[in-house]
Amino acid sequence: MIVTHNMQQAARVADMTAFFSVEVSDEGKRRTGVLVEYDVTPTIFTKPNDRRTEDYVTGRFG
Amino acid sequence: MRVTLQEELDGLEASLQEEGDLVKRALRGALNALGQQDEELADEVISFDDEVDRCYVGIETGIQSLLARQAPAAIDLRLVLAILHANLHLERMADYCVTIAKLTKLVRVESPDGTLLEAFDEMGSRAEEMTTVALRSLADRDAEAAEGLVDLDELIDRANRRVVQHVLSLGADPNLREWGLRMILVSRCLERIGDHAVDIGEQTAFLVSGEFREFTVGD
Repeated sequence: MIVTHNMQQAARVADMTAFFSVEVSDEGKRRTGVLVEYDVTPTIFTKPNDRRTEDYVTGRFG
Repeated sequence: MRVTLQEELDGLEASLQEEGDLVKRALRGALNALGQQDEELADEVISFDDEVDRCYVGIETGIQSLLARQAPAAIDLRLVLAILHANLHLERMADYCVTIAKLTKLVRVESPDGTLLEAFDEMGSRAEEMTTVALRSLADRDAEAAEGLVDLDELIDRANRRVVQHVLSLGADPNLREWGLRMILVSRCLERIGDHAVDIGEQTAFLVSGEFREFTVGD
């Protein structure tokens, strides 16, 4: 298992990919790690199911 | 957000739309040349293909560069692939216009069959409309409108079959029969232009859904 911010590295080496992100509470004091999506790597990088995953892998945030 | 990537994608999409406009101009020119048996206009249509080819190469080169530098993913990757395929389809559509122009020059008759010319005008208008719908649905990400191209294509296919039947009934005049055989090829070109428009529609559906499927089985 590797943990990386380098998406190309993840896309090259992993059979399965999980996208983790952070949710910040309304008042901004509490930060919670969440598993957003977990799927086979081609799906994550071609047609992710969660909009947050899509925004991340396309570079729209993060 | 990677602004440069978005700008490049926008630029490629704009170029594709421009290429579509060029194809429609080529189609209209080819049909006018055919209807008026205008060899000069046919030559212009043939030369005009260089402009379409330049646009095609520009898009192809842009995609190559973008893939090398930007590593697009998800919706961006699907858009790049859709543009790549649509670009090729448009270039092929323009080639069919060139073929129509060349066929126009090849055989001339004193009085071309009016029924056939009317059929070609109808097929050409439908092919033009299909090109417009294909490119608009891609721009609008409208998979439903894209799939509607199948119905329009059926109309061209029917007209194509009518043309073949009509040519078979043209009679014994060798010159007219040779012209008629060439016109079957013209009809086939128009029919294929419609098929390519449907193929572009399939790319729109792929872009929206993430899954590629043929709109009709066996075509």
